Amino acid sequence: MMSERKSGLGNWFDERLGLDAIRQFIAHKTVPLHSATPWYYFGGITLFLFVLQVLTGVLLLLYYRPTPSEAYESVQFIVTRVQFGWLVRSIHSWSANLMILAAFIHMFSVVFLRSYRKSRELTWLSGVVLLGLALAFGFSGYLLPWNTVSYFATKVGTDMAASLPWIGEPLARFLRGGEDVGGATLTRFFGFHVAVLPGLATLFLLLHLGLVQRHGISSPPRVEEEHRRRGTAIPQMPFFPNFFLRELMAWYAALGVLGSLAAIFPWELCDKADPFASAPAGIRPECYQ
Amino acid sequence: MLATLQLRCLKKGFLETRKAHLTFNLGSSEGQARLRLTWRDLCRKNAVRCCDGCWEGGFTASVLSFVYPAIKFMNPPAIPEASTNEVSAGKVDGFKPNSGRIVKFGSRPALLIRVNESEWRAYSGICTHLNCTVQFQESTRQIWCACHNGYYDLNGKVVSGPPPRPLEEYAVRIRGEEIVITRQTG
Repeated sequence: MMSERKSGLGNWFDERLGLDAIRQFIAHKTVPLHSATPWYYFGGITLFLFVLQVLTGVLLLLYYRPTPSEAYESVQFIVTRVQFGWLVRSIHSWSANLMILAAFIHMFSVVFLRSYRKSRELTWLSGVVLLGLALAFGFSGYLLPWNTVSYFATKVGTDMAASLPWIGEPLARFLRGGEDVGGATLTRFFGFHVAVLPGLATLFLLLHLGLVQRHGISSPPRVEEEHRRRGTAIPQMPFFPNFFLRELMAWYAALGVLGSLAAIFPWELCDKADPFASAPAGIRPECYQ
Repeated sequence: MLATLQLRCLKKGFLETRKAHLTFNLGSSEGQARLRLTWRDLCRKNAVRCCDGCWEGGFTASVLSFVYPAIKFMNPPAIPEASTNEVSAGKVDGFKPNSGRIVKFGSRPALLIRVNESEWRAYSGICTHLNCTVQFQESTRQIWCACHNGYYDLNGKVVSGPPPRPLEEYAVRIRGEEIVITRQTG
């Protein structure tokens, strides 16, 4: 039936890409339907915010310069001179924070719904790695504007790493690219932020999503138990279009929240970092609020 | 394109739900009730169609409100460049006769040549072919562009190679010991 409707161009692509197999796969994919189903949206929301991070990050790369003498000025240029630069930077910063929030909600939903159980352990572990990578994205990206608070936050952060037993000192040296936070740290954090971490995140994301496809979506034990007792199957919702469209609405809502936050509370830039100035009184990340 | 695709999917899902709803209503009615339902359905259909349009428009507009800034962002802002008309190129003693050097003329390079004891020439240092920076060749006493082997004479005229136009000439004046290069107007 499907093949009858296909156009010549559709056929051409089908023969080369095997789209029918993908179509079949999507047609058979389902999502369990129960009272906790809404929690399933948060993985998708995290993914959506990650994609937005990539897109806005690429945009910022058009103007950003990763050297101590130019980094702050280039961000200043972005937010003051480039059209909608303030908005793009604000979306990048707010989306980063919302992504961490969505990732934590996703993680806690997996914990409380006990979706990490047997056969899905690697999905859980790859998710933990992705959360670690997301935090590393945040830590490395925080330094890039090269302002006072990001400079001192990186000094504090790398100093905390130095207090780890055995590996602390070499790790801090590796992170700073030397004895102290400076130009070498900025270059290195930029490299981590735009090359190393995106590469790793893509790999683990593919693994994570592949595993979700392989094992399907888990149902909470109490739902499984209830249906076993009643001798019924857990009701399922087709992934496409039913779940997909709902997920799309969730993304749309997330975009609305993100756009509002970015427009109403644009991210501040504060003062340029000065390695020979004392940390100012009241320095704390809230400076950005 | 993605937005249109999403819209189509959304609309399809919505229409299917609506169709199922109508079938259910009509199926359970009879006679006059059916007529009334049909009339009501007609009204609803129009309302839904109108609502559909608003919704589609709103959705597209809201998505575009994010795409538009992204496109504008990519367009580099015009930075007003202070136009340079006169620069000091150094001291007379710094140049031997039959020598030339690239000097800064605002944000662009200029080629200053000391032809002999008293004669000076200055040109834009940018080759008219494809924007490379030219140099003075002492052996041939010509201006040479290394990129595509273009030659200009000491008047800035093309001698050989691909350059399509002569180099822009600047005026050189000596103020005491100082060499001053000026853009020629008119």
